[in-house]
Amino acid sequence: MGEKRRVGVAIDFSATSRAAVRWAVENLVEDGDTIIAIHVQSSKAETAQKKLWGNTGSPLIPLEELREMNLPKLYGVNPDPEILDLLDSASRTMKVKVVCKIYWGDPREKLCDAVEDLKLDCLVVGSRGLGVLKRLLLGSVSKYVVTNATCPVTVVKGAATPKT
Amino acid sequence: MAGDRRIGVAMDFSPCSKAALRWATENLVKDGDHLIIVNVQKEVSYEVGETQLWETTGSPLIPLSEISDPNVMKKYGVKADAESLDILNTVARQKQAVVVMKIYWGDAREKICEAIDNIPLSSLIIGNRGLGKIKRVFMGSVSNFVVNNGSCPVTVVKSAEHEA
Repeated sequence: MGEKRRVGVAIDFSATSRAAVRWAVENLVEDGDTIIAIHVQSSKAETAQKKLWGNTGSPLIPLEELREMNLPKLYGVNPDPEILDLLDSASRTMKVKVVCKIYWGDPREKLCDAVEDLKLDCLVVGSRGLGVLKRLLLGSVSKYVVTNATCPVTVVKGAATPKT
Repeated sequence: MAGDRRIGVAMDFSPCSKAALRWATENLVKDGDHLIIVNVQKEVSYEVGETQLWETTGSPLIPLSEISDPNVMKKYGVKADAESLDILNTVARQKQAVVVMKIYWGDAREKICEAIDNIPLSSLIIGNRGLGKIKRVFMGSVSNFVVNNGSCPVTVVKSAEHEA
């Protein structure tokens, strides 16, 4: 309502997480808020950064750094250009601060931990990600997060055409 | 983006759904939006006023002025408590939001999902636990069903657990 909020968006660069970012940017976020894009890497990844930040997650990476090629490679992340564009235009048109944080481990736990760590006011997740088991309706991660996170969680279904 | 959205809040007037309403008005509703309170009653009471008339399609959209009028609400067998009315009046005033209520009769799970498709709603906010006798630990059966099956982005708002 005027207070600056910290809005988390869970990103695995799948189609539904793109929809989640789009929804958050178009509907939820307001001037002065901070968007924290949260990405959870599998703990099997063996990058140098993981050894360094494995336990607590990466430091908060500002959006500009994420757009450069080196940083993503350093973290073993392949950012989706459309998502980066959405975040970029949000930061410019709405005076919103955009940062990214990378965790390693189980997405279920790490996303719930992130709510506490990052003191998120709310979290937006897609409904289905890149998991092998294409559950019909709701992926296991979003289901877990909706149930267990301590802040309001919005689940955005992928490829939803806006209804007027 | 703002101003032409239909934001639904599922309300059974439990403390949880009031928390959901409060969150929606403080975080999501923007100037000019339509705020639609969706209330689902269990059975049609054949003695009470007009409920039989609206059994299949749900009630018409009841404007805020009528929601506050006990005579009108008696026709539908629904009573909005003072605190909720206060929140609704405030958001109507401060954000120029159009506030209406739609009442359905039947199973809450199905009717809320129906509401999303029929009204239609651009997003829905729901509390995590309602008035059900079985106090599920984290998420009630209705919110669980709606998150899984609703066709729009669904936000689940947890209310502070006061129970020991």
